[in-house]
Amino acid sequence: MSTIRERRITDQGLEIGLAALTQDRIREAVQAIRNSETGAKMKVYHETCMRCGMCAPACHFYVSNDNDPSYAPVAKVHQTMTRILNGEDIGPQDVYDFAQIAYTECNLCRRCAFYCPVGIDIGYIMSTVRRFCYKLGMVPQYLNDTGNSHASTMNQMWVKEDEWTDSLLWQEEEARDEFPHIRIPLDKEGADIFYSVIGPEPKFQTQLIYQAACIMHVAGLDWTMPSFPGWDNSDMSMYIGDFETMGRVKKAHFDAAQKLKCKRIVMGECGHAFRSVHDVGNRWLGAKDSPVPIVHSIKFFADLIREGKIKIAYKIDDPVTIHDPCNVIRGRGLMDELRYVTHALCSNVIEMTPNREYNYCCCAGGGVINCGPPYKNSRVQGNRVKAEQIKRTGATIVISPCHNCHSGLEDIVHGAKIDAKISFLGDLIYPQMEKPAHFTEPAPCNGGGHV
Amino acid sequence: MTKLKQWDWTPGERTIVPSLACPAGFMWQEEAVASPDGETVAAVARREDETFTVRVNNEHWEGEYEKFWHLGFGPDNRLAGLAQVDGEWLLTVNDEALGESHAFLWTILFDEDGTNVACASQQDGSYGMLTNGEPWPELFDNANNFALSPTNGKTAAVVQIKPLGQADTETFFKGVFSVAVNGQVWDSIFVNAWTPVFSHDASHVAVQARINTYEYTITVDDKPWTQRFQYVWDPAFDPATGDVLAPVRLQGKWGLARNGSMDWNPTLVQCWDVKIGPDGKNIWAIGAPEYGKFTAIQNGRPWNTKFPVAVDLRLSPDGTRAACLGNNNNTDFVVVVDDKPWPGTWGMAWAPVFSPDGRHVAVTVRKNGQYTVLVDGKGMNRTFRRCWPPAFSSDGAHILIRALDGNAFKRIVLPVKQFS
Repeated sequence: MSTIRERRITDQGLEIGLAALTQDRIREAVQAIRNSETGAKMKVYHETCMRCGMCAPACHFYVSNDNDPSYAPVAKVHQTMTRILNGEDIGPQDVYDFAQIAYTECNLCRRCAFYCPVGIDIGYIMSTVRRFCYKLGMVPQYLNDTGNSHASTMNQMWVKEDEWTDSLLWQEEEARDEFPHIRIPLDKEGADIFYSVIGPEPKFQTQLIYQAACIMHVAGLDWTMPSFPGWDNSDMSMYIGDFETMGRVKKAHFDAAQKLKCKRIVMGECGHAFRSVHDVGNRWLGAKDSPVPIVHSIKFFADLIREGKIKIAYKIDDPVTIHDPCNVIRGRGLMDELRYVTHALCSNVIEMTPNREYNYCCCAGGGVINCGPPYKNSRVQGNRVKAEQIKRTGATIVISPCHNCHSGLEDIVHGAKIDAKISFLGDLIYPQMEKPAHFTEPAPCNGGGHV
Repeated sequence: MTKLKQWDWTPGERTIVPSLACPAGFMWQEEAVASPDGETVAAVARREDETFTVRVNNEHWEGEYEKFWHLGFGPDNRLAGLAQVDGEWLLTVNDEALGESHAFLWTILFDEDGTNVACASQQDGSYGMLTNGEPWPELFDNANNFALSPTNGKTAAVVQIKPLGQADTETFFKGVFSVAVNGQVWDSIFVNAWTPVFSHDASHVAVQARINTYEYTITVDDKPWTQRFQYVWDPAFDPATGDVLAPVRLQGKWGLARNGSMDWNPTLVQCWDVKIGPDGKNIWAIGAPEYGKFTAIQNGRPWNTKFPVAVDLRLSPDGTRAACLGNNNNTDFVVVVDDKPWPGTWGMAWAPVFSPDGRHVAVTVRKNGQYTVLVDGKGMNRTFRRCWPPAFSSDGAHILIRALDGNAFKRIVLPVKQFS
């Protein structure tokens, strides 16, 4: 069995935080956790847990690290929250350990909660440990930077306001070579759909915006994107434990859709953002549900295909498998919709085992991949089980409708030397959908028709 | 105030443009925008030669642009937009460039009566603002949260005044942001700052400030309040006293602080969108006295009518009355005026509009894709393909409705008593 101290990873952000830690600050943070409403919930969990260990084999970190008991979810709690609740002496080095466990050795994927006989939400407990660490300035550097970007720009990637709009105008122009009449309608008031993406898309994945625009165009949808902050639905602040910034970012997102009087937000293929808008961020703002209905791309694409708004021209024959992103499958139950879309696009779908809500996490989510290079090896090692799952299917394409999963799985297949590429649903829908001639041939107006 | 008296308030209906359909010879035409006085309707249009122009009623601007966006009318009925020429961007007003071209321009802001127009600018990777085409004397590594004063043409933004390397969290938490007013930077340095707000006469500016990682306050004219809070939202100036009020979070609950001291005790689950009447006697906000139940709050007292969501709080000119929209997570919109819900629910609703005398309220609503206008809770027995927000005459006796009836853009003036 390893110990957290033995496997410590040097992180500049944690080192800086460590240098500023005092026992008084730690005591204050402990009291803040124990004496708040959260403390009661933690105490109930603490006293309910039977230490049965059922959560252990549910955790990809535990399984991938040769069933090392220190990676078991219950052990992660025992090494962190239990010590806070028991009023044990906690020193600066302990907080460093807490941060490494909570931020980098738990994806908050909640798979363990599915196996807990009394339904303890260890993801929530570890989120609270993260909040404790955040209050002490103990946040991994790269993850912290994404939170700083959120607070400063309302997006995750330090995308400046002109860069955002310029990216949309550029993608619209690019797409006009293919669809002469295509638009990415900016700030269209009263549109049915407010389409939101996450920060990396305008930064270095603009082809995804291009694809989405093409799908919207061919489906003939009434949609818009905002030219102002609130376009990014992502939320690393939630994972940092900086709930204040989380609230501001979510407010900007909902405000943007409300300002444009859109009926619903359709969001790109992202998992954690979905958790933030319908589960966590909205609640911090005082809203029981999402103030504007949120439709995840999985459901959106399924509806477009089901209703015939887009038609799939052909299926691919490549062996394809499906990764189930935690936040939209365990978190929202979109497993059947994901399969509906995948089978509409692919003729040779091989399920992972286990799958659906019991599928293993990608090990990138929960902000773990955002903790950056120092943790890449432990992250890939921490998900050997996922590599084995993929390998067993023999698939050459892994469908992953989530940005963090997508990036994490790329690392995993690369690390395990698996000959498979990771694909968003949109990556398949865009080339495989029918593109009727009236969309692809320029035709001027005839002076008739509707406005 | 806009020059309402100069508008045509003759009761009746005028067809300004018989058909707004995309004219022959154009590739497409974008969403229409309507002038406040209802005399003009405009839309971005793309010619067959792939240049962009702007349609104004039945004419088109002569300008040929590589791209055009952000088309909109100011309160004085001037038509503004952002046009690209030779890869650079121009702020155009009534088809004339205002100032020099820039690498990028965005966020056009008009002041209260439309006299002044501002926008955000980027040139050579540096950021600032233009006021009536004039750029700030100093530009910055980044700028956002752009603001234009209600009067007197002052601009402000949050600006980055120190370089910040990739993932340099240490420098970030020492503070790299400040506020620039007309390009002049405050001495204060913040971890973060948001939403500069001007007093009505533009002599003061208040801003939300993140003082360190965990503490927040309001800074007014470069002087932070001494009190620190768990969180804050947008401040507002009391027009009568010049005091600054802002929602603040203490012990996990929200209240309202005035110049740093608590005005409303922190008992609310949420509180934002503060609005204050001209005499300072009526302070309003949107808030949640209970989890998941939002409403308007007057002087600390929540309305009885509560909804999962409440938006678009608007006050009567004297601040004694208020209206907002309640909704069930963006469906079943209800108009609430003075804590009384109007009959009917709507698929979408636009911000309520008070008459200048404060006696009447009008709201544009949409149901099943059809728009109509309600006045004092009553409909007009007519629907449209689109309606812009209505306007009242200065005496409150008439209402102007700007609407798309089929493809025709119409300007309709009705006596308000028709709705009684």
